[in-house]
Formats: sequence, structure tokens, C-alpha cells
Amino acid sequence: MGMDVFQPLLQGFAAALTPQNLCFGFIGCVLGTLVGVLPGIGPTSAIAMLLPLTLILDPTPAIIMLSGIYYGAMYGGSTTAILVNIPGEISSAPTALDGYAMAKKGRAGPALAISAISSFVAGTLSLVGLTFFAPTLAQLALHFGPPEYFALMLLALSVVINLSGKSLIKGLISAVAGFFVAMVGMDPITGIARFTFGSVELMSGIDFVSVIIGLFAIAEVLSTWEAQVTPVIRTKLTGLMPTREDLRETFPAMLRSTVIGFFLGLLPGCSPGVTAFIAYDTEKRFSRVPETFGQGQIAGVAAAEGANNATTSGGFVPLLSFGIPSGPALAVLLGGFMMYGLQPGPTLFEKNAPFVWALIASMYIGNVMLIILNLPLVGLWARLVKVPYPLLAPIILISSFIGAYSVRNKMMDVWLAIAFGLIGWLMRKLEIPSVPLILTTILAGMLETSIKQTLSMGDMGIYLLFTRPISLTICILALLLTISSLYGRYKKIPLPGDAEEFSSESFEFPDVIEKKRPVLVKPRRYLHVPKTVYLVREHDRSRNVAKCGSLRMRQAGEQVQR
Amino acid sequence: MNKSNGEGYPNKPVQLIIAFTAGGSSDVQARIVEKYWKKYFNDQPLAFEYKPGAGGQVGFTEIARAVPDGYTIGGVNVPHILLQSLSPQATFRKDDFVHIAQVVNDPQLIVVNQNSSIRTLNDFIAEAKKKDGQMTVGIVGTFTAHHMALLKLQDILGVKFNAVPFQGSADQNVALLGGHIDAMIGNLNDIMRYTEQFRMLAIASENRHHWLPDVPTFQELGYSFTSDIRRGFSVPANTDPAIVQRLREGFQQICNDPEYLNEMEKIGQPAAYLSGEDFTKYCDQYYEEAKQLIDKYELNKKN
Amino acid sequence: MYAANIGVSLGLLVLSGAVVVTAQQLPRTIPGIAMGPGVLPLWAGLLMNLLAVSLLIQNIFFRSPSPKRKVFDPKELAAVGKMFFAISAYAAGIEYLGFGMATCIIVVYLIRYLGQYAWWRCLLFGLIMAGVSVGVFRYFLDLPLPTGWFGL
Repeated sequence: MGMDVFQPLLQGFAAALTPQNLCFGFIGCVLGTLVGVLPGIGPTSAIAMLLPLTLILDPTPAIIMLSGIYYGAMYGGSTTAILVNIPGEISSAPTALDGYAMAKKGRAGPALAISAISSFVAGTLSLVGLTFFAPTLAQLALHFGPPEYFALMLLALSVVINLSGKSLIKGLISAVAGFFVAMVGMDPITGIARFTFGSVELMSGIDFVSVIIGLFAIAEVLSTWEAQVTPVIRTKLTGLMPTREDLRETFPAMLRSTVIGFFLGLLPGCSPGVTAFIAYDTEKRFSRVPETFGQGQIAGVAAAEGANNATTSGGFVPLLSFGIPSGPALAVLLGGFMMYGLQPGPTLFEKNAPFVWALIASMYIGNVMLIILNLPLVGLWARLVKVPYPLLAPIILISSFIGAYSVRNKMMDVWLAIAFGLIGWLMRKLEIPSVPLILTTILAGMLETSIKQTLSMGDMGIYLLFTRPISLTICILALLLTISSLYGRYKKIPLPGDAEEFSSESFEFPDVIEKKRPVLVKPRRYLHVPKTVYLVREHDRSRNVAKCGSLRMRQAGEQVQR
Repeated sequence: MNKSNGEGYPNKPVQLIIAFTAGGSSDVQARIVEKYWKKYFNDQPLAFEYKPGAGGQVGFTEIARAVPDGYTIGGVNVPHILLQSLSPQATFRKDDFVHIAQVVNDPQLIVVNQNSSIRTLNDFIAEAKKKDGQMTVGIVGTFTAHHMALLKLQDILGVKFNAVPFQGSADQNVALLGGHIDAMIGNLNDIMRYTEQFRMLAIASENRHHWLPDVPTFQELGYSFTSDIRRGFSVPANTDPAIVQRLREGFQQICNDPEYLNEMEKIGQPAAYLSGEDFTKYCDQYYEEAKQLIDKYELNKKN
Repeated sequence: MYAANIGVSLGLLVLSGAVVVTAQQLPRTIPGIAMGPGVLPLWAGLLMNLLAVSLLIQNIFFRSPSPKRKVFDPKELAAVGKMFFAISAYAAGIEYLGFGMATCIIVVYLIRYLGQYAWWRCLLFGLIMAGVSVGVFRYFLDLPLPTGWFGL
């Protein structure tokens, strides 16, 4: 490999830099960012809507544009996640955990900028992987059979413990509820309908889009009516760009998430949503201050956004080498390939080399375009939080409805989203974290498929997992991670006052903070509270974190005073 | 109103329901048809509507329940619609459709990895007997064309397999590439990408296919076995026979257009035109066979 | 919070019980395939049962000494109920009045109710929002949005 890549890559750049291809690449990136920003409307529907254009355009510009939508959407998805706690794409759900917390502290700008930078770094680095090692890596992915996928799903499930918030039981309840949601519809293998109540429409299942729009966007609109105040941050925006320290701190996170996102992205079926969660969890484990995750830890934003971009590049490896799409968006893109009679697969690199290399080169260029496009937008978006909420709420509502509707062009998905909105609101009130539910909803289908296949593969049953080296390794890793997370929770048995500290969602940051000095009360059972503050101050990275600590004391105090 | 004869038809855009996602094989094929549609149908456009889900059942139901005025046509897959109408959760009947034409006939093959020691169908049978029911054969889903083919094959070859179901042909192909299954039942369209990695043992069609001239048919090897997936177009039952006639004629013209055939070759789908009448006959025949097979293996039994 | 938690666990017990019962009716094996569609729902249902019971036990017997906190405030419930009704009405409106008209109405209503702006401003904003979204989604992106009785 190696040397003989440069020549075709250079030719690819020459092809990608022609005005026509450059122009369509740009259109793709802009559209991608836009559909990423709009909650619900994802790259899948955008690519599907534009697919008929392939009847008019030449293959190279068309595929460049459609791919641009795919990876561009990963840049855009973080915007609403950070600003209004509504992930534009499912892959940005973990971004919302810390991004929104940062925005509440007035650091929406740095959060947005870091997510763009992390996207760029991870996107570009993983493209290097794609350029040089695509065929080798594709072979690597082939070692993953059904038992390995099953083991991988177990690993991903171990993340639930860390996403559980205050109460492990409630976290697990949320996770199992995710399975319930995913089970509605046809069984992924046998096609037998479950929990459909005789409805044909429910037979195709509940789409993630309705779930995520409901739990995040509609629940948000519901609960803000309740508050009758603007949820949008009144805090002053403290700086639009990340500080040098932010960058230094997030850089290792970007690299780690690139590796995780890219390698998991090689496996068909590992969507950006899954890898973003895994990268987020890994970062939390690597961090010296894991308790700050969920409260505006910038490394969490960088990890999630880096991973989902790295996964998009990783996903092109099985797509180009074997014609295997890793997710719905790439499946539609594969349809675009087919329209032109470009058969992805081992022969694509030989038969259509100029096309493939132009596509890969266009992705480098696209990433540069996207960061140029997104960094200046940071200021604009960050100011969006200043838009009065009465104006923002209808916009959120309309785009949610359209997003849900566009899944299948059926109103049923909108109704489902509304139902999930109510569920999401209830979960917030009852302090049941919704993130585990989303994670298991993504994982359930693949988990069930891989168990069934593993069981069918021989008479060994589930023990087949432990007879294959790769699946055994992953199983052991999953076990270790589970034990370590459980141990971590055990060490820090949360007391009731801790709700705000551990829960990723119920941590509300009232705007009063600027006006009122916190009342410090130190009853005995809240002894751990000052300790945490001390811990935070030790790494004193910004005023905000320290503020965050003192707020905790204030809340603890309030409760006692009541 | 041109109710009694198909004369003015169509005088407005015709809606085409695709029961799979945009960009799927069914959509790609229908897009090629769309290119020629205007030429043969009064220059009226074809409006695509995607109703994916439940292995096509959502969309097929939509077609079956559409207003039978000729302005809603749908892409149907056989045996999908037949098997779905036989299942306990059926939402339409076989006779809810009037078929216009068959456009694609995608035969199935027995495929093994190039590195496998199995070289011929006889090796395959011997190996299956040796492994005594433990030979893993990948299929797509259950209650599908693949599943039926596997069951039929067990009867015909007199062996037992261990079926490993996959969600789609893509993951099935990867599993075979990675050597996680011993063999698989694949469709011609899907395996053409891997002609160098896979070894095709036999094709379940009546004649050899010109894309794989070296692959023998089951017929040649002494087994009477054919199995395939077909794509066609249909309208809901009770559509005016004159309009059906008009549609059938139009599709016949499209499907014999040399340019159309050329493009079908390009997208890698084996074009095979069959008139609506013949297609219906085929469906009826398959329906009866499948019914027997399902009864024999008690596939509809609960628990 | 305890009362609420107990309520949650009882609700979940009912839900998971229903899931288990339904799962029992689904085939657990299919000829030739090792695991039928009934297996996962059964296990998930049982697991949920277990979790609900543990939550119940925790909230009845192992209360930690924490101050009482009210979860649902009647005023708030009324407000959320109103919003939920408005959102549902919007969805129903899309089906019967058409996307454009329903959007216009809901935007005017929401802005007026949430922001108390002047009527003409609400109306203007509603018209603009409806026009822009119809233009972008129905015409530019070609999404077959419902048109309702008036074709809007």
C-alpha cells in the first residue's frame, strides 16, 4: 500500500477541485449542516429527497454532494443539542449532555466551536485512515461475525450504568423501557409482529426519530410552558471561542474519540449514535474529573462530536469495499451508487478508481469547507439563544413535527412523537434519565439479531461467545467495564440531595445565579457537597465550574431550609 | 371522465408507491422505469411515494387499499406479497392486487466462500450430510423467499441445514465473506459484487444466466428446483379493466425498449418481462406451493 | 418523591406484566430458527418486573432521610396539560386543516400566549412562519405534507 496511494489521491484532488465538483460538494456540505441543525430531518431523508437528481447529474458531482450531506449533518447535529437541548441527530444525543449544560453557563460559544473543531479533527484524521488502509481495514471488519457483534452490544450496554444518573434502578428502568420501545413492530429476523395492537403502521416499528424528537424537543416545549419563564440562557455569553486551555484539554479527547469512532465505524451496523455514546463513556473513564461529566465538561462535547464524525468516515470503508451500508443514510447513498451502475465492492477501487479517489479527496475538502462554514456560524448560533422563547418554541415545534412526519410521510409518527413528549416530560419530573432509553432503543435491534444468529450458528448456544477469541475478549472487557462502573457508583453512594449532581438531566441551572449569593448551609448529611466543591476547585479550570459547585451547596441548603 | 375506456389515461400524474426505502433495489429499478414512463403514458409524470417498513408489508397494504382509479400503482415483490398474505398477521389478500407486469426476475443461488473446500453441489450435499444438520446456511429473514427456498432445498436434496437468518443481504454477504457461515442462499443481484470472493454452486433458474455462464442450473445437476425473487407492478383490485389493459400495454413497451434494457443491465438487475396475465399465473402457482410448505413445516403454528 | 416513585413502580409493574403476558403468546421457537420473537420481550418484561419491585422496595423500606419534595404541582400540571392539548390540536389540525393553515394558527396562538405580543405581530409572524415552512418543505424539498380540507 502506501506509496501507490498518493498518485491516485492527487488525481482525485484534481478532479474534486474542478469548479463543478467543488460547487456540488459545497452545496452538499451546506445542506448537510442545515438538515443536521433541524431536529428530525436527518441526512437519510435529505439524501433520499435529492436522490432523483442523480438522473440528471454526472456520477461524481452527485455522489460528492450526497456524501457531503451525510458528513455535513454530523457537524450540524450538535448545534441544537447544545443550544436548546434538542439533538439534531441521534448521534448528537450525548453532545447534549454536556453541551447544553455549558450553554446554560453562558459557554455556548466554546461548546459549539469545540464541537466543530473536534468534528474537523476527527473527520480529517479518520479520512487519512480511510485513504491509506481501506482494503486492509475492511478485511479486519470481516472477523466480526454474529457472536462478536453480540459481545460488542454487551459492551455498549455497559455504558448504561454510567448514564444512569442518580439512581441506578431508574437508569436501568429507562434502559429496559428502551427495549420495550424497540420491540414494537416486527421482530427483526422472523418478521412476526409484536405489540402492534393490530395496526399496520406500527408493524414497521417506532422510528428513533419520533422517540428522540419526543423525548427531547417536545418534552422541552412542554416543560417550558410549565416553568413559564424563558429556558434560554440569560447568562452573558462568556467568550465565543474556546480558550487555549479548552483546546489543550479536549485535544486528547478528540484523538481518543477518533480512534473509537473510526474503528467501530468500520463495523457495519455501528451507527454514529452508538459510537458517540461509547466515546463519551470512554472519555468519562479517562477523565480525572469524571463527576463533572454531564455538567458542562467540554471534553464530553469533544468526544461525542469527534466520534460521530470519525464514524462517518469509517463507514465509507465497508461501503466502498463491500457495498455494505452501515446505516440508513449510507444505504440510501448506496442506492445512488446503484443508479449509476457503480457497484461498490472489491472491484470498485480498480474499475472506477478516478471516481473513488475524487470522492475521498472531496471529503477532505468538504471537511475544510465545513469548519470554515461552521466556525463563523458559532457566533450567529450562540446568539440564537437570545431569541425570545415565545418565538423559538413554535420553530422547535414545527421542525419537530416535520422531522417526525418525514420519516414515513405519515401522521402516525407525529402522534408517536407527541406521546414520547409526554413520556419524556414525566421522566424528567420523576428523575428517570432518558438517555439510557435512547441508547437501548438504538442497540436493541442489533442485539436481538445477533443473539438469534449466535444461537443459530451451532449447538453450543450462547457459549459460542466464549469459544471465539474476539468475542471472548470483548465480553471480558464488557465485564470489567461493568464492574468498574459499579464500583465507581458504590464508592460514591449518592444521597438524596445529590440528585442534581449525578443526574445528567435534572441539573437545572437557574438564571438567578448572577443575582443571588448562595446561602451556605452545611448540615452533616451533606458533608460530601463541600468535598466535591473542593475537588472541582482543585482543578479550577474556570469560574463556571466553581460556580457550579457553589450552586450545589445552595440547592442543598435550600432543601434543608424548606 | 374516461371511466369506461382507458383512452385518455393518464391525464394527471400517477402516484407510484414503493414499499421500500428510497435508494433500495426496488426504488432504483422503478427510477429506471420512470425514465421511460412519460414516453409511453401521455407525458404524465410518475410521483414516487415511499412507504417502507415491515419488509414491504406497510407499502403493499397501502397499494392494496388505494383508490382503484388507476392513479395509484405500486411496485410489488413476489413472493413477498404472497407469503405476507399467508401469514397470520396478513393485512391484505393475494387477490387484492391486479398485476400489470413482471419486470425483474432475480434467481437465487447456492453460494460458498472461495476458500471453502466445497466446489460443487455434490460436495455441498456430502458436506451437509457429514455435518448432520449442523451446516450453517445464511438466509434473509424467516417466512421469506430465502426461507422457503431453504425448506424446499432440504426436501429436494434430502439433507438438513442449520438456518442462520440475517436482516438483509448485505450482512449475509459479510458473514459469508468472513467465514462465519458455511454457505448461503443469495440473489443474483446481490452476489454479483463478489464474484471473485464467492463460489456459486448452482443457480435456481430454468436456464443459465448470461452474467454467470459457468454456473450450472439445478435442473442440469438433476434436481428440479427453481427459486427467485420477482419484481412487478400492480394496481389495486377493482381497477377498471380498460385502464389495466392500457397499463399492461405500456409496460410491455417500456420493458422491451432496448435503452431500458441497457440501463437495467447497468444497474445490475436481471430484467425479465412477463405480461400481467403470466405473472398472475405464476403468483397463483407459487401461492399454492408455499401454502403446502408452510403447512408441512407448521410455520404458522403458535408456540 | 416517594409517593411518585411508588406510583412509577406500580405503573411499571402493570406495564411489564402486560408485556410478559403478551410475550407468552408469541412463539418462542420457529422451526429451524433457534430463538423466536417471544424470547426477548419475555426477558425484558421479567427484568422490568424485577426493577419495578426493587424500586418499590427501595421507596417503601429504604427511605433515606431526605426532606419531602413535591413532584407535581397542580398549577404546573394544568399548564403542561394546556400545552399538551395545544400540541395535539396542532397535529390534528395538520390532518384536517392542512399543514399551512394549522401551522399559522398554532404559531399565532403560541406567540400570543407565551409572549403576549401585540396581535398584529403574532399574526404577521404566524403568516411568515407558515409561508416559509410550506415553501421550504412542501415545494422546495417536495415533502407530501397533508393538505386538509382547504388545500393549504
